[in-house]
Amino acid sequence: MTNPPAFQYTRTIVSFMAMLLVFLIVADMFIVSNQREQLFKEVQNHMQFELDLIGTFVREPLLKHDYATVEQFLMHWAKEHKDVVDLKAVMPNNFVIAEYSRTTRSRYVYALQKQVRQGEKDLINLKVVRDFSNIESILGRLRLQLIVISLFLLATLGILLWRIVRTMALKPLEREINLRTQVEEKLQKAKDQLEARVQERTAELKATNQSLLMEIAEREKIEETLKEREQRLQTIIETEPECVKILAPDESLVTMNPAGLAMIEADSLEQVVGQKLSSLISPEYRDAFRDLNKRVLRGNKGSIEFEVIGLKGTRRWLETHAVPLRDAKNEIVGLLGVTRDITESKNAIKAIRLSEEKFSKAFRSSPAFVTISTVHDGRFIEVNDAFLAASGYCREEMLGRSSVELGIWTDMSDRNKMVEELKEHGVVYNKESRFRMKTGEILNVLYSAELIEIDGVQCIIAAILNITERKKLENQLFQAQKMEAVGQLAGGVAHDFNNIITAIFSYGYLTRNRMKEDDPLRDNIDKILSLSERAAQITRGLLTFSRMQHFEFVPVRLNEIIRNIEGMLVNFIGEDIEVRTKLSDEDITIVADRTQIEQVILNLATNARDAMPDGGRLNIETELAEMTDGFIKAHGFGEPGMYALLSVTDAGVGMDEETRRRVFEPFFTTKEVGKGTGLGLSVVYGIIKQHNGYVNIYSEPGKGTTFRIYLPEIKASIEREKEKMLVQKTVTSATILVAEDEPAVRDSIKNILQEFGYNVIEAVDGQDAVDKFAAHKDEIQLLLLDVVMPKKNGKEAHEEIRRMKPGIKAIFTSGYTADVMLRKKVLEEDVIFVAKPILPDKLLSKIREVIESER
Amino acid sequence: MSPSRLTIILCTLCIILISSFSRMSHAGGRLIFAVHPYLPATEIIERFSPLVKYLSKELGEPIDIHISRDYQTHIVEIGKDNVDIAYMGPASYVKMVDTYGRKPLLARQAINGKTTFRGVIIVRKDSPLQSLKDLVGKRFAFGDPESTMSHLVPRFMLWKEGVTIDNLGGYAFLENHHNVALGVLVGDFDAGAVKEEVFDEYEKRGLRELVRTPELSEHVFVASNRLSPEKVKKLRDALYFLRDKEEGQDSMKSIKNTITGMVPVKDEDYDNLRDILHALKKIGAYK
Repeated sequence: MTNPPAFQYTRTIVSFMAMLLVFLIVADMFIVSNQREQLFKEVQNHMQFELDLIGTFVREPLLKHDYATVEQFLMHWAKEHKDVVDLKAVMPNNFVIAEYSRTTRSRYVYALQKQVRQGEKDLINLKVVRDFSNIESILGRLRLQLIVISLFLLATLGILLWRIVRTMALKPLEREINLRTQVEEKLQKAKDQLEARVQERTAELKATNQSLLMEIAEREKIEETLKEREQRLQTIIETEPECVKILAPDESLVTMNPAGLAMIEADSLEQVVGQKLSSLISPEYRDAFRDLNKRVLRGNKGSIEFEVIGLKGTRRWLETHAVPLRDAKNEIVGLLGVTRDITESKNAIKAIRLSEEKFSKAFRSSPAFVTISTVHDGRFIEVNDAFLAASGYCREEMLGRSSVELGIWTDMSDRNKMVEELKEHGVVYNKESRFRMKTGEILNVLYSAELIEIDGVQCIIAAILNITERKKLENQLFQAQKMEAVGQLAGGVAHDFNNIITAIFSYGYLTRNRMKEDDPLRDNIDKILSLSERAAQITRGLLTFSRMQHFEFVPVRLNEIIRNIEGMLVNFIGEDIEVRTKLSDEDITIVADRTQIEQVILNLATNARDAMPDGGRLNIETELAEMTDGFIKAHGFGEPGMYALLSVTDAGVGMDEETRRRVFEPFFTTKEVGKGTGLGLSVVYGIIKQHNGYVNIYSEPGKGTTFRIYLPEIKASIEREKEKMLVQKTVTSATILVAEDEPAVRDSIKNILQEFGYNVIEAVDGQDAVDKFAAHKDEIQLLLLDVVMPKKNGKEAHEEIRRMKPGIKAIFTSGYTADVMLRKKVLEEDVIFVAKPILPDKLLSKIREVIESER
Repeated sequence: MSPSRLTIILCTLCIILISSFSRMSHAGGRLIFAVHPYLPATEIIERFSPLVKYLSKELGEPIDIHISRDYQTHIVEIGKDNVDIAYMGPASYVKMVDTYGRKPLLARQAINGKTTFRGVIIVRKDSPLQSLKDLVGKRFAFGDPESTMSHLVPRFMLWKEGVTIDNLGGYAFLENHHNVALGVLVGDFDAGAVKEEVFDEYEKRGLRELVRTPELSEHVFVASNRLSPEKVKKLRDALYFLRDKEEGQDSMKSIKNTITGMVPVKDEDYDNLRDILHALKKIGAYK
């Protein structure tokens, strides 16, 4: 089909116009580019010329050193010329005399430079950057004008050409084309009618053919589906893990799947087909199996469990479900059986029974308490004999009742916590609690529990250990360790304090001796001495508690001590309190320091007095008691043997558990501040421990307190008493070597000895003592040696001195007691020892004793 | 040329001369406020215009600004009462009084509350010079020969340290303080003398202070003897109360940002400078 002529002409005109447009664009670009080049050149020249002019202008003031004018002119010029982007006027020494910059976004900037010289000399270097963007705007306007003119030309020429072509060529052609079009339309109509008839016939034939094809396809699809179903059924039977079999009406085997063949241990279907299966059934189930077959072949359903003996002799437990097999006419044509191997579940049931029996035996015979109770209300379902024996309940009393009803848990929150934890984790391990038994006895227990389900009910099975004994022993061990540690601490502190108190006491003593009887300050010194004595008592108390006090052990009769002190007690604790003593009939002898035992009784009596502010009764009893293994186990202390038991009982306010635990700690007191030192019972504890004895407290708030003191009893009739030496204020003139490293203590001893007429030679350590002795060998009659000193200790110094002068007497001093010193093997047992703090009377008495013994 | 024509010409010339002279003093009934050329002329006009406008308003008479050609001319012009009001540097004032006798003093400026000011002898930051004695053989830039801080006081200080213009390596008078600062900065001179204000302005561009001068009484406003006592009083009042009026504040700040007021002044305030100048005269450094 050819294009109409109008279109052809139009295309030609449009092509021509397009070419013309391209030509015009190219021409415009050429003109603009040419103009830009010329403009740039012109402007550059102009600007350079302007810069040259500026150079000429500034030369004169620069030569006249009128820099300010130059600076001002340049800055002014730069400010006034909006196209100046940057100005920098640099002097020959690089000093920038003027600098100006203006922000611009223009891309058209041009840098100019002018070096101003006078002869060979550089005057200034001018650098200017100027903005040319105004040239671009001029060019932009020019470009716009050219485009408008070009478009106008194009449009005018296009319209003119179109008019010429239309008038001269297009109109005659249009007429002829109209004629041709009419003829063609008629021909087309006839052709269309013919084609419509042919298409009608073709459609009818196609429809017939289509319905035949559909019928054939439908049949093929049905056949395919049937085949698939059969195949699927066969696969199901073949892969079924249970036995599927069909028997003929005469009970012979028609077919059986591989799982069934495996159950009867047949290698192939051919091996068993046509045979009766009843021969494989264990004889005791054979009749029942036949009965089932007959019932089914009569039209019933049925099932049976039986044992089968495979062709290879393996026994199996099977369970069969059988139904009659009918044909299309509903006639019975055989039996369809499905059989399952139930050997494993049969065995499992047997194992469970066995396990139950074992558990039951373990449950009943366990030495630990075992209980089973429900979760929701805690009712006991089962408890073992051990728990029944400990709790005191019989089985009938416990089963069906809850631990809450029986009041077993002393703290119900323990049970609630256990239940919560069980619900969260399913198990609870090693939790401690306290259970109350039927007798009211409280047991410390350690329990573990787990959730189990019995007949659909959630239950708790708990294993419980009675740890009451263990707990008691742990507590006693802890208490003993604590007292030991506190004792060590107290002893250390007391030792350091002793040195200080010694110095205070000595100086006080000296000062008082030198004072006149009527000196008004004498009273103050007496108070200082009295307070020092009290401080020394406290340190002695601490040393006693920490068992560092030196005691003199001799056999004594306990009853005698009490009889002696009884009278004094009445005065001591007041008339409001009645003292009753009940002494054993026989004499009980113990090895003890009499004074210390008296101290114990006094301290306990004081304690009793404070516990009974409104008066009451104080009972003191003695008796002979034996500590047996049973006693030791029950109380957690002691060594087997006979003991003197001293009981001191008051009817006072009593103590709670916390007070009872801490009552022997130094400085622990329930009294008001200032009413007591808190050392009384600590001293009791220390003294009794040092006598290898035991002290125990029985007390409850409001019910009074009993202290029981156990002291080892000995069969002895010899006692010795030591006469106390009284110091008399006499003056001798013996020379004593005093070796003491602590200057304050050394000075105080020296002053006391000199006060009483002794000559003193001082030594600052062990080596110094040896040297001083060597120098004054003939004068020195007695050595006073501190045990612990630098360079040489007291013992080493003594040994060395004895080599120079055998038989020289020595008195040792130390903050530690003689007992500790002996234990440390510093001193031999026959040494003479004075413990710190050194009390002047005691020291002087000792010195006198030693010197006189020599004479 | 006939004698009558000559007479006419001579008379005309006399009239022209007298009228031009009187125009200088009272240009068409306008008062003249003269300022010495311590800064470039355009800057002086810019700075002093608000004050002149203010004084004119207070006095009720128009006033024109006149910038003297140099410091000496400035002294002559006020000394001879050719101008009505003059803003003077201290040295110019002292010289003017020495030559022409006392004039009515109007006020002196206070900078940041201070009525005295100082000058600075400057070097470049990178200069090795550390004391005035080091300046022997070096090039030195002075401002105007009559300038207090850019010539006279520094000249006296140099002389006291044994540095004279004869043992300098060279020197020049650069007319104003800015030229001195820039002359040192561009390296044409090793050192120079400027007043504090100029030093503060140029310090950040690379100047360092070598020595600072003693304090001298600030710049002063002087009236011509020809002004009536009423006008002088009016002018004094106008200057004293400058700081109380907004436009007065603007006028002060325009001259110098740090001016805080105009305060009464006595001739004795310039005695210490007078001593310096007399000493300079004795050694022939000052006429």
